[in-house]
Amino acid sequence: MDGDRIRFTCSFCRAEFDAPKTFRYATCPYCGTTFRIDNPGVRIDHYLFMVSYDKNSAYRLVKEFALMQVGIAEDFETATEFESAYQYLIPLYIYEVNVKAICGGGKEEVGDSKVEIDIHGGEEAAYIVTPAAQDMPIKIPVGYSFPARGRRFFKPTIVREGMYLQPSLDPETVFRIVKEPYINKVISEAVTACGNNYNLVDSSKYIGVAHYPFWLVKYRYRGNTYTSIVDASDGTVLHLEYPISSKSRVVGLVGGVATTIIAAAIGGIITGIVTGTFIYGLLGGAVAALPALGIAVQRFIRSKGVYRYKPSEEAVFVPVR
Amino acid sequence: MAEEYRCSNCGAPLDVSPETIAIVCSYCGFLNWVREDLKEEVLVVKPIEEGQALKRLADFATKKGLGEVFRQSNLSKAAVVAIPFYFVDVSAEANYSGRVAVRVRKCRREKDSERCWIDTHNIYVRGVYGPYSGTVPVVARRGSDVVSVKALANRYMASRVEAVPIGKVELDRNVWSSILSIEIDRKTAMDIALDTHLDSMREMVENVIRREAENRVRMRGENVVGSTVIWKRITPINVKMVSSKPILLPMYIAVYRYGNDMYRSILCGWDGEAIVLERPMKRLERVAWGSLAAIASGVLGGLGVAAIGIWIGIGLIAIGSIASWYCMRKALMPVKSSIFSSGVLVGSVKSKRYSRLLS
Repeated sequence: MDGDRIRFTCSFCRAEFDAPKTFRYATCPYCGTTFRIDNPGVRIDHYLFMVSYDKNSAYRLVKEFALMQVGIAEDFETATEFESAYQYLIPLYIYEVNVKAICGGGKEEVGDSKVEIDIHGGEEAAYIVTPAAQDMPIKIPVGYSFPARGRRFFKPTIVREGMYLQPSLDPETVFRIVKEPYINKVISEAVTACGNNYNLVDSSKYIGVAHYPFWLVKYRYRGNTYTSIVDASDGTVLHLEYPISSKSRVVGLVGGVATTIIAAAIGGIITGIVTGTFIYGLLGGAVAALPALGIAVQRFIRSKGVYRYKPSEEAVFVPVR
Repeated sequence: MAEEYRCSNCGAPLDVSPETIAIVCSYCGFLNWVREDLKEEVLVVKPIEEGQALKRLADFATKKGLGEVFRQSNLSKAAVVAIPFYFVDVSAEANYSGRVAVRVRKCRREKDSERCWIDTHNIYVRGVYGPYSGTVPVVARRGSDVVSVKALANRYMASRVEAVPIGKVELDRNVWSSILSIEIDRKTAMDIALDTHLDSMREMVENVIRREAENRVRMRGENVVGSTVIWKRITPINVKMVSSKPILLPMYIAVYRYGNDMYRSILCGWDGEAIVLERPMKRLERVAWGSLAAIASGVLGGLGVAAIGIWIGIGLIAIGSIASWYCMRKALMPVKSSIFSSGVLVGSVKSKRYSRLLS
């Protein structure tokens, strides 16, 4: 054993194993019990989200999703071939935030299915799942909702393939950071309700560490490689590169330019009628149409289109996440 | 540590996650309580048969001109899912007081011209608001806060469909296996409902404070142009909450393949009505959105330049820019999603069911 590693005896199954000192947690390779490296007596709940899509299914999802994109190459379905798929298990911390402030002298009666509060201050209840490491090879969109479904207790035997990334951030520090805005909101609500006369009750808890699977799928189309990222647990495509046909690019760019010209002409006509000057309206219309032109150029200037998942736009489906 | 759970009725293995409170055995349909301490009756709304639901969808799609897409021969996959909810009735009042700076426009004639300026009045208001009551649907699962699930809950609250105890209804095997386990207990559900409901009430009370102050100034015959709440006190009082038992609401998810593309739909499980429908964007629709981008930016850009006042002009051009950005994004969207349920994004909903629990 070299000096960078530390030897453990599992407190659950008594097996001996070693792990790098730089890790925040160590997982027993025999029974799956997870410890804090700096305090091996403390066991941590460690979960793993199940892989519901294997690499073939992930590649199929990528192809189906690519076919729905505007301007996709006409021969995409027949001319693409699978290149590689690599699974990353991303570490996450799971927290439950539950903070309440009752005004001084207020009473809370809590029954099985009933609650009565006479004078209330503030409250926040939220479930937070946040990345447990920095500089991860897969960029997860801010606000991405990780499903709770399919979470299992971690066992080393479950992880058959892929790269298992270690949590590197301190869970207590992360907890303090993610909880802070909720506590501030409760305090602000309580101060608005009863000045400084309130009792803050923080029942928030750190639930544990979990690993979440993503596929990094690469495929080839006419000699070029395209990359995509698929949520291996629920099949959401987070990132997709796809080939755009030359015809679609021309149509898209001409459409963007035509939109700008028409907008400029309409603007010019309006100022021509109102003020008798054509040129300023022309400029006004063209300036207002710049965002539309920008979208068209960004989408069609290159032969490689890029789709990025936006949680706010996509939160319509996924009913079982 | 990992622990294997088995059905207490038939002994089949149960797919239990660390947060599972209760789970229905997918082999025999028996409701198993993993957390015995939270054991209670679970209600379920019985779904209609899959064929019937898909037929309803086909009829609905035909009415919408999408019969070609959502026909039986295009069906790629259909599944039913039963989602657990709590419906929490919340009622609260608020003692409020506040100081509001109300801005008024005053004008005076001076010789041949009129001089106008903005004056401010500090107005103090107080009162009691409420009772503010409503039903908050809370999904009894983590991370299921999506539009289709909210729409399903709203549809349930607006309907008169009956939920019956799970032991008293015969369910098909495919329904048993699709019942999602309950992961949130009643107490947590009530905390979530309290947060949603009181946040909504605080917002309403702040508007009341502002409106009351503005009205008081208007009654003096002054021309109100705006107001700012300088200081406020909003104290929720007499908060009462009653939670329903867990209720399982069924939902059908159907995926159709049309041409090269996949289109999804979500149907209400007990009546087959469409909740969310994805449909192709026709070439004509793309052209229409593109044209709208040109017209909106042209008109607003032109008016912006012709406007009296630089700030009004800049404002119009900015609105034109936002409109052109929005319309072009719409024009290039892969599919169009339509939601067929009112008040989907409302957290707390006035419901016919309200008062049944609180009374």
